[in-house]
Amino acid sequence: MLLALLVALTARADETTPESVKMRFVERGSELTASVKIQKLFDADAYQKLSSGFLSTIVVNTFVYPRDEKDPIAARQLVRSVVYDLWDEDYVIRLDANAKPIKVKYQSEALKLLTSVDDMAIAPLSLLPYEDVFYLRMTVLLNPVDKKTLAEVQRWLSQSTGGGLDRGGVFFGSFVSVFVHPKIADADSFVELRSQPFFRPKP
Amino acid sequence: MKRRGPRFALQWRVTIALVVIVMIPFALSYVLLDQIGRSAANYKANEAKESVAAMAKSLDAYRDLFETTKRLHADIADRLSRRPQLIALDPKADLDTILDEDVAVQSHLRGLALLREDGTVVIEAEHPLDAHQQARLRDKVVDQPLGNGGSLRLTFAVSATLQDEYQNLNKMIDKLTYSTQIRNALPDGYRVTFLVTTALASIIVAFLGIVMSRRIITRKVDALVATARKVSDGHVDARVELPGADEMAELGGAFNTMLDDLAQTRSQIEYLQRIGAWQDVARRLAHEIKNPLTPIQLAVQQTVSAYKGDDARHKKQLADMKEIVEEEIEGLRRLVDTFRTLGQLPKVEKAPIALADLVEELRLDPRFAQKLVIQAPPEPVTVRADKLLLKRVLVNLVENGLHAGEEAGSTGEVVVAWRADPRGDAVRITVDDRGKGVAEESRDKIFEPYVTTKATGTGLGLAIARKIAIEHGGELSVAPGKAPTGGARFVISLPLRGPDASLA
Repeated sequence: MLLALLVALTARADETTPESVKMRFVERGSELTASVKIQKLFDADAYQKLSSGFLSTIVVNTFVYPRDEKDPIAARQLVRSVVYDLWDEDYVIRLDANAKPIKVKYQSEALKLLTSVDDMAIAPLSLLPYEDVFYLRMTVLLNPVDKKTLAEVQRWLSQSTGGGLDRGGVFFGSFVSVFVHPKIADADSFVELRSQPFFRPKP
Repeated sequence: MKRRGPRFALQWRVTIALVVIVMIPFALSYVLLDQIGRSAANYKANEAKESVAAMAKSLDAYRDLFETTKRLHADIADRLSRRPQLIALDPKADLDTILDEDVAVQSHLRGLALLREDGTVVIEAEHPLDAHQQARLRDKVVDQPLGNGGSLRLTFAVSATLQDEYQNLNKMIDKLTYSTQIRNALPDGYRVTFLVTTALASIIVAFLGIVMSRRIITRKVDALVATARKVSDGHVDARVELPGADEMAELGGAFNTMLDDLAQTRSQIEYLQRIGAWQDVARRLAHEIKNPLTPIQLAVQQTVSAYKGDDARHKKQLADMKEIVEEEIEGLRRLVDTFRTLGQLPKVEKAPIALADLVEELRLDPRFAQKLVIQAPPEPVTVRADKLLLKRVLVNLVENGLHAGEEAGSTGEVVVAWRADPRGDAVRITVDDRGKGVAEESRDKIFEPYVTTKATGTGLGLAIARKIAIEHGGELSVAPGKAPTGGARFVISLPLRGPDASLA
């Protein structure tokens, strides 16, 4: 019980109830797509940093849940990026990792493109029976700590002071990392949204 | 046994004590670890802060470089746009010469074009990049209006990697900042880890404490309690078995010894009570029988002496009657004397006695002189006892022994020996005879009053002897089995220590 209490105390502070927003769901071919605005991701600082010339990354994760269930039936990820070209003075945006870059001149245009999730594929229709009710949970991270850095930190924590691995050091380090990591922000900004319940009406 | 209300089990107390004992050094270590962690984190955090500040300045320098370069480009564009030949969109303007000017070369201006208002090219010139330059440079185009609707397009070669370097530097700052955050969070992580491991260790210690205390203490205590309850419920033969060689096992042994002593004491008390009752009866009988004996004897004597006739037959009858009556009266007197002896046993008055001297006195009795074998220990043993009473006990046992030997047809020798036990708590005096021994079933009965195996015995001798031994804080018993002499072995135990100690 004591252990559970400690874990609970050290749990992520940002694990709050997701904000309910209205989302638009459309069937596109064999996929169900969702559209939503995520302006809340950018506060004044984040907006200002868009013109810094540094690469900004937005990671959108979606999870489709049957109503009243805790396990998602589908999960998707979308990675967007934007960088302000300091020579050409325009914003180079990729709305998807594989998409062609889009160049826009103004910051507001860039923001609008970045915060508009339009027709993002969230689940194959085959997983969504007619008339069954679902909801979508969406987490959006701005500039998440990249996995390489996380792995590096994990390795630092798991190694003994001499750099060599020893069993006690690894065990203690792994134990410490469990309690250290949740205290560090994973991203510059984090938004969690929950859609209204939806279902596929029978044609 | 009186049972109290809810109890706080011993094993829980032991467990809590163990946990507290374990937790104290843990708590101290926790405080120490916290302080060390914070100190180390602060030191590293300040170090990282300085590094980040230096790197942030480098970022500023990069930004300045971009801005300065762009201002330079704008300035060059502005200056060139003032040249009349260019303002006139002269197709014969020598753009190559302009590109070779120092200012153009130094600013990496590598292309110029004159554009009409509709965007078509009037004239253009360009210095191409070689392969090496292409790898590290890129074009930066500046369109400068000429005021006549046309425009001048300038193409500068700028660093293609500068922004990447700028971004990489920023990534390093982010990484360093993240690492610093991690480092700052480490003391908290250590603290929580320490708390968790401590909690786990405490749980394990508590569990082990419960198991160990149950195994080592409480299970044994429970066994003691159960035995005590059995005894209190009347099962006086109940004994506790505690394995091991620790204090608890010793306690169990002491507990059993106490129960043995209690049982013996109880048996002795019962015995003394029975003897007490017999003493009372014996006193009354002695009194009631003794009083009429003399008148009876006198009456018979007078009756016999009063006959003055010469009837020889009648005279003989009277003489026989007198003889019979006197014999019976004598027998009754002896019985009365024995009753009186039992009924009026003197109070024990202890004094130091050397056992060797006491036993040696037995030899003075002509009945025993030739038939008594004395085996004295090398070390003399002195007891506190009533000499007369103890001697009476020994005389009784020796007499019985001789008689038993004679009855068995042997020489009737009796061996008297004594030896203090190794701890010096008691002395055992043994009287071994050469008789037939005492049957197992008779071993306890023979000490009961009026129980005898002898044809002429009163059955009071051993009863009196045992009473005397008990009143000395000791015991008289028959050893199981046969004595080395082949007969019975009677054992007198006398304490040498404690409140009933016989030792001076």
